[in-house]
Amino acid sequence: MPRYYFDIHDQEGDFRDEEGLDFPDLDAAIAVARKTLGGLVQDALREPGLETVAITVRDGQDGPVMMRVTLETNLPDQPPSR
Amino acid sequence: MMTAQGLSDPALLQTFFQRLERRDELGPDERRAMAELFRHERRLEAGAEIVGEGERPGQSTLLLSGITARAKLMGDGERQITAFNVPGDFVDLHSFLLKELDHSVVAITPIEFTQIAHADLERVTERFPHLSRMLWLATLLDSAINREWLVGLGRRSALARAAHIFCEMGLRLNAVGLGSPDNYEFAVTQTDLADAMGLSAVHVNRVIQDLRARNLLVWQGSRVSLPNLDGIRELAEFDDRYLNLMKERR
Repeated sequence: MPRYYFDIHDQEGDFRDEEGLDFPDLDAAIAVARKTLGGLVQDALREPGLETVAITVRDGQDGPVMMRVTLETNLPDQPPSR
Repeated sequence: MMTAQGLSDPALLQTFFQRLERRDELGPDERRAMAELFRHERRLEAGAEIVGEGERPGQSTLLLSGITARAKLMGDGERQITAFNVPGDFVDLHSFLLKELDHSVVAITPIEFTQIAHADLERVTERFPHLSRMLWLATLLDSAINREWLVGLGRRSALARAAHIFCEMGLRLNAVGLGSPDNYEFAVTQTDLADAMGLSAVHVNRVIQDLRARNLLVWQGSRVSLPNLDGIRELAEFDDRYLNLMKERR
């Protein structure tokens, strides 16, 4: 099974995955990345200020595949916040 | 085939008695009556199932060494671990009265265990009311830990949830004489931990890295050490009250 690496950008900053995990294919790795993103977003939203959580899946051949969730908070009578 | 019924060495029950006697004294007659009911110890490899979901075991299993988990399998193949058990824990004392087990019990590491027949449990609990209360207490401790995990799954951040488990395992192992609260053997994989925390293994890996970066956790091989116990407890909002580590009349 190929090994995939999951680099994460969250409220703690950027985390480069040096260990990786084995998955049957890129689709399986993406499915896990999506689930992980869900958990990361939940935690990121606990703190004000963070707008983007992202995971980049990479391996030797495929990718990289980047997945990103961006939150917009539009306050009334103010320009949209980033 | 050996005819020996009982344990090869009564000292194997040390963690079990220590778990109870950390909370209340047992009389010598209670200890003896209980000890002679356990069957010969057995071993299983990591990954083996001890009891399957839906089974009706005629005995309850006491863990002597290693770590087991209570687990539920989901339709999509995912697994939720609802409890880790450590030596001295009954992994399914509740099957004595619930009869049918609504979850499975799996060995997370290689384990040693012993069993006690439900018919024997029935007799000994009728003879020794205080011992019955202590076994009742054992299941109440399980549910207190379940409550704390529920709070973690529902309300704690992934980081605090992981921190909480590391604080808890240290205290539970220490309470049965294995390791110290800040340094203990914990041979689970990140995948096991992910299944206990309701997260993906990728997320758990991220969280472990974060705890490391904060100098709150060193996890090498199967050895966990918590270099700043106050710090990790503060992060986890860990309060050991639910573990009921007080000796009093019960």
